[in-house]
Amino acid sequence: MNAEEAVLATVEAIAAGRETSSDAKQYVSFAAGDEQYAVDIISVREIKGWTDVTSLPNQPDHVRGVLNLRGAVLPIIDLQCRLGGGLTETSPRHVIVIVAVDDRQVGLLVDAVSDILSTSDERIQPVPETSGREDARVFSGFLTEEDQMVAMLDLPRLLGSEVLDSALHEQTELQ
Amino acid sequence: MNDFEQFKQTFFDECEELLQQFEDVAGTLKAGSNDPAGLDDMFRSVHSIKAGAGAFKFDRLVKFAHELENVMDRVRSGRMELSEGDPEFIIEAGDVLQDLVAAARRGVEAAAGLEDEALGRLQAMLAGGSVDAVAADVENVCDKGGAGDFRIDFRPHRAMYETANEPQLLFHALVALGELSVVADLTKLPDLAKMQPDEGYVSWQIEVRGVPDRAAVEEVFEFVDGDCDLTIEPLSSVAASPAEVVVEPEVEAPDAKPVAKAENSGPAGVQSTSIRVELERVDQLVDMVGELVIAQAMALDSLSELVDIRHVKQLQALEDLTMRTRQLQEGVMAVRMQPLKALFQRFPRIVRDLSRKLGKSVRLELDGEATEVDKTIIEELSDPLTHMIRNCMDHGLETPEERQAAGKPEQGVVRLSAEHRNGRILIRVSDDGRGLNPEKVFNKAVENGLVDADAELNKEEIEALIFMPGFSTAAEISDVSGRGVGMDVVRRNIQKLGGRVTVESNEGEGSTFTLALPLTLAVLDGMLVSVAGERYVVPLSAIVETVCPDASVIRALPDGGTVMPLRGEAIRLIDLCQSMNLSRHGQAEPLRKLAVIVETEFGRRVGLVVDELLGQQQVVIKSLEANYRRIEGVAGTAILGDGRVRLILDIDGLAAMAGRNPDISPKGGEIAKPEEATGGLSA
Repeated sequence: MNAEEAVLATVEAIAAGRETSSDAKQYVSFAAGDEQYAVDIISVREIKGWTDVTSLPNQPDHVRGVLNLRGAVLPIIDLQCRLGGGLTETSPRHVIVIVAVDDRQVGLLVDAVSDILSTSDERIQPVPETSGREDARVFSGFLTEEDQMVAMLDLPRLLGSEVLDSALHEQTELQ
Repeated sequence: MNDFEQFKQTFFDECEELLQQFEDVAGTLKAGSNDPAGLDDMFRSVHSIKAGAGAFKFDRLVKFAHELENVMDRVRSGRMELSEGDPEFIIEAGDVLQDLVAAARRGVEAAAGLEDEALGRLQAMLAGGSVDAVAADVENVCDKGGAGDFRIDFRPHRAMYETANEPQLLFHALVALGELSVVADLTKLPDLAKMQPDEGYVSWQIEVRGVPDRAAVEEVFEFVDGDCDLTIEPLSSVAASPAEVVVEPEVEAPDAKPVAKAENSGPAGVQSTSIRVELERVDQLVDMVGELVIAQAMALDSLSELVDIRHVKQLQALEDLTMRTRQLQEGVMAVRMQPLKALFQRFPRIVRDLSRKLGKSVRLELDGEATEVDKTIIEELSDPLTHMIRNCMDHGLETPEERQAAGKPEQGVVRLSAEHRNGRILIRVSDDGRGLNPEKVFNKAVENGLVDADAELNKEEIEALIFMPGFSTAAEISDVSGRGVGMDVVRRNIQKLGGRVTVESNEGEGSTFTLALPLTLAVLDGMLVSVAGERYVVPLSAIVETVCPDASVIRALPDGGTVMPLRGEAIRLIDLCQSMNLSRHGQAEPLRKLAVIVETEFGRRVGLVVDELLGQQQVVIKSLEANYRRIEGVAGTAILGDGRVRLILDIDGLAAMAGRNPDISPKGGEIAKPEEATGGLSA
């Protein structure tokens, strides 16, 4: 679904969520590359269609640039690229999911928003410990939904290296 | 924060102002007679602090403020004259008061005995301090003698009721002082039909006996002073006057008391005309107006494609709107502006203390205190300016003996001035001391490994060396200007504010430090440039000139950089396309490049190579760090009229980057593959 439909679906889901049982949590799922990912609906601030961003010099590939969102300047992270895939070929059909982590707002570039999932914590499987890669820690678990594995994103770990550790960077820049 | 805490906070904020006010005048006190208006201010400051402190039960503060207030009261009413040494003591007493307030603010008990010495002296002044004048003697008798009986003629105006003052409460306060009898004068009371409910018709003759002193009585009426006719006389000197009606005030007052109305008639103009607003609220307004300006520019942008000559009226209306939006923005910005006085007035004291410590006689001259600057800048300027003034006094000015030997007046002069110029504010700190000795400065810089011994520097370049980190060495740190920081910290603080600091010095004549600062941190005058299809904002303040060098004059350097000559100077060129890691996607480079000559913090000039200049624009600065991190070569971001974010270039950062080995891989996240991180970003 595109940005507008996604917003409508989110609103409906939130309304529906009030009636569902209290232990069920809601997640927004979206597609990036061939995979499905999801984040807690609480951290989602806004969903908007892709617009051109202003690129930043000498940053990792997955930092696509910055965007003006009603006067705030937000970085846009290419999710597929951040997780080891190639750069997303953007089109106006692409979607930016704006999430909030620790008072900071970041946009995730994804292909499309898929669904609103309502599920309880027990249904989320832990990440298998087979992978030695540091990357595996950016997932907090998996949810199997109709034969599809949805990876739950751990936002602080996903964004940590650029967005949240900036205090450290500021210090090194100060000299 | 609950209400009580908030009141407390307000009290401490006010205390700061009041203490400052006290100190301002205290610095001008001299033995003998003084300016009565100033003395009144001092008295009121202490009185207000005492009143507030009482409400919060800061007992030590109240006690001390009370004695100080009494002394100030006598001085202002001419019943006590300051003798030699007293003005200095009053300044010290102000310090003690400040310490007590500071302790109360931190919620800790002030050091035991902190105020004892000053308190003792205040009490001694009160006990013995009388003026030889006969008239004062008479009053003094009334003050301290047992005959503390007063006759008070109290005739409230309508304004007193309008400020919600209540005569009955005043009477209650008087009861607490001594034996009280009150006579109400109802002769002015008109017929009921003609009576204005909010007029003050009733007056009172009050006799109060056994009061400790006159000041106590005056204090009761302190807050209605000016809103009533009030005479207070010692009872003995007044003949008993006939009473017409004797009533208990409890009965009379409610009847006579008009309802305090918010009607704007009457002389209620004594109220303060300023309000206190939380800075956060103002900032929200500034942000909102900033967004309004952007939104409006975007609307104009999109409309300008549609309208043509037939829509002159609509265009005019739009232009009108633009103008008003700008005015609104300026107006909101102006709310954040404050006169520099708040900052400058700290310095007379610092100079006074320091001149005593250093054994140098110093006169501080202030100029341009009314100049207005953004509040944030004022706050951030305090430390650098203090440091510079200390520096001037410690290192700049000579000892009195040296000055005499040099044929200068014994008293040194430190001058602090401010003025607006070209949309920036210039603050100068100058002294008439020994000035910088270029040779010494150079040798020291060589000694500390800052420059090569064979480097050829001109006078300005040598003087700029004192701003280098590591110039100020441990050996010369005194407890006055040392504190382990040097001029490099000053420079860094000023740069953080988007300003620059320069020094000009003539040996033997003194030095002048000039700070050039933006008026506000919220907007910036920028030059929009384009390179390889990207647009950037260059701070206008950094731009010296723009040149269009012929390709043949550009020379390559062994390290891969390029230089061009400009009036005999070799200017290093920074290719923005390269620094920003842009790719031209097959687009041809422009035939002739433009070099924007900019000045770095060291006064060094470099040329930014760009494709095109797009024009000058005022932009609203947005932090990149709010949601991301700092990026080398980028000072911040700005949102332009088209709603797009543009990067504001950090000239010094770019110069530093260009000076380094270009092979160093760009800094990236853990996942970034270095070989990929160099391309593709400009898509």
